Amino acid sequence: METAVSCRGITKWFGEGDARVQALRGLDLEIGMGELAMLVGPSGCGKTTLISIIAGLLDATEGDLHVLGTHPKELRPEEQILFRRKNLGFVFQQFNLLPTLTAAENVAVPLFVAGVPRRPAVEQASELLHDLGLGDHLSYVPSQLSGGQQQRVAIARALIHDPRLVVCDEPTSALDAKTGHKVMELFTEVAVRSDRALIVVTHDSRIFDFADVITHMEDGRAIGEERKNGNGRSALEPMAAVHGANQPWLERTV
Amino acid sequence: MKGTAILESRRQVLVSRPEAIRSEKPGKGWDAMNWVALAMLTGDRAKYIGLIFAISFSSFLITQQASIFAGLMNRTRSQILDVTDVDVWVMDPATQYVDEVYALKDSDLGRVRGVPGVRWAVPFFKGQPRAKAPDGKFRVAILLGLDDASLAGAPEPRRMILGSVESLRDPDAVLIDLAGYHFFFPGQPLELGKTLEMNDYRAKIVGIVDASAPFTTFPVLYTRYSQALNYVGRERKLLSFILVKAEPGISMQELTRRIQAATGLKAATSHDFGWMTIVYYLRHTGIPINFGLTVGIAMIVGTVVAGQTFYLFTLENLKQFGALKAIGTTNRKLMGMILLQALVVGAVGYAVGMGLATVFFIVARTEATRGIVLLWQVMAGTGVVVLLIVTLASLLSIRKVLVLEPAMVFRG
Repeated sequence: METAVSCRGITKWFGEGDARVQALRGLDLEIGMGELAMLVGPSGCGKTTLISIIAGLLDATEGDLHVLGTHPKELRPEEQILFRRKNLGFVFQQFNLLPTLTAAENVAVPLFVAGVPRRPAVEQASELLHDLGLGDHLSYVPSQLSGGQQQRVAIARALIHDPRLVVCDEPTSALDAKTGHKVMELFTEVAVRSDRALIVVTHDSRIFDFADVITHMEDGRAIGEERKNGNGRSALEPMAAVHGANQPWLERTV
Repeated sequence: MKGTAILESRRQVLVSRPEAIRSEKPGKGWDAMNWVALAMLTGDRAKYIGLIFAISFSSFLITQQASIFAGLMNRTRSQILDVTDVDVWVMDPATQYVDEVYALKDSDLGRVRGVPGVRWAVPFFKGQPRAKAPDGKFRVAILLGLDDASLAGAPEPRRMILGSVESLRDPDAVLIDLAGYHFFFPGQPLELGKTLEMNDYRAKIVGIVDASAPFTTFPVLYTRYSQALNYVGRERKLLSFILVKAEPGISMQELTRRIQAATGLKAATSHDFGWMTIVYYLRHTGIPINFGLTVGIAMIVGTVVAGQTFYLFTLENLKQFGALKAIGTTNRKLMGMILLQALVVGAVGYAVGMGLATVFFIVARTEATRGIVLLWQVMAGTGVVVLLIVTLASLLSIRKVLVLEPAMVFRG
């Protein structure tokens, strides 16, 4: 299986001097193409920092990162922006839709950013929304949509430009259980492909069943991994066993 | 359509999408992102109207105050501008402006006439006697005495509303400006032959003139030089100015230099004398400070209100700007979007402000405010100021967006 994301010894420090805080402590992670990977763990364990680094929105302090075969650190800032524009899709916890644009226009934003003229971009977005069951809501602004509908619009926006990596931050936390489940069903239906990887950061254990692999994080480290197999999901396996690394902290945390 | 069918449909759509999506070069999305910027701006009606109001208010106030100021300053040189048939004014060397005169000696006229380059020179009187109407109403008037023979300095024929300049040759004849006529004879139709009294002398109105409004709102009267002396009472010296026409081909600079050298008097072209008068009022009255203060306050209020509203607008949309950054919008494009929003606000606010100013000057157009008009120069200047205001107002927002870390979109 082709590797989509590979992290080796990723560390991240924030702040200066006494206020310096370490968010990631030598984290290892591997996500393959075609996988839906979930990052789970308590608040403050570094999940958001990790996906920000994978998405190229933050730089790691140390460590080796490969995303879709590219070293983000080796790209110039403008190349990083182009890389994100072409290859990444985002689904945010609070949807972050533009409140004054219609559903179709919101979905078309990544195409606008890429330089596609408005009319064909909106037409393309409308088609996608139609596929996602929002064909009757194309001209609704976000405030006229329910939470589930807004998240579906956000998912459409993340997929409209056919990205190879989709990064989702708590996609169901703002939704009730039933809507969250429906959104994930739809999401896996339209987004999971052999030539695309999905990373979902979540606290929501109700959606764990949708994952191919679940990476557990704690205190800035990946402490273990569960992987879906023919019989369901494997038991939590320590990261040392997964990556063969010498990680003394495993004894303490697993 | 579900599952595999959807995937296939998506794939088809995405395979056939425009090449731009694969473009390595940023910046092709200007049109659509500009449209997004405008949709963001106009979508929040309350803030949009607030911004427009701030800019409209500023531009209206700046234009209105600056136009009134310019009109008032122009009025200070009205009597100079209305004399169109001479080139140079000669006056006492200590003269600072047109309204305060130290009379010349009658012999000075001959000396000026003797300066090479002077084609002709005539006496010109300017004084402020009290004029009284038959019903007892009186007022200080601006009396202009023209050379008896040539009537040089008289109003242009096109400015005569009733009667003619030549009628000034009649005994006791005066021309009066329209506003003066309305003051002395309110509600009465315009007609010649009515009389005023000045210094116990009869003044018969033989013409009504559309004279430029003076700085003070006194009536303006024209008469012959010899007659003017009667109206103000005999003083030892009464020659206010000498009006000079230059020989063809001589430069005004050279002529004024020659007159000054030959006579020791001050000589200035109509243009220079007009500006001398304006500068006097600028330096010695509180008018520019008062108007400048209002214009300054309008600029500050406009900048602060527009800047604050713009900044709040940006703060409220920070997550959206962050999302746009994460999706791949460059800082340059975001800056362009904010500047576009600022320019649109500026243009709409400016247009509304100019509309309000136009309505104001139409509604406020009375005899008392004649000459105070909306000047294109002021409109153009206000346009530049508005551009400055919206640029300043957008700077904070631009800075906020430029330093925005796109990773913030992942923080709850």
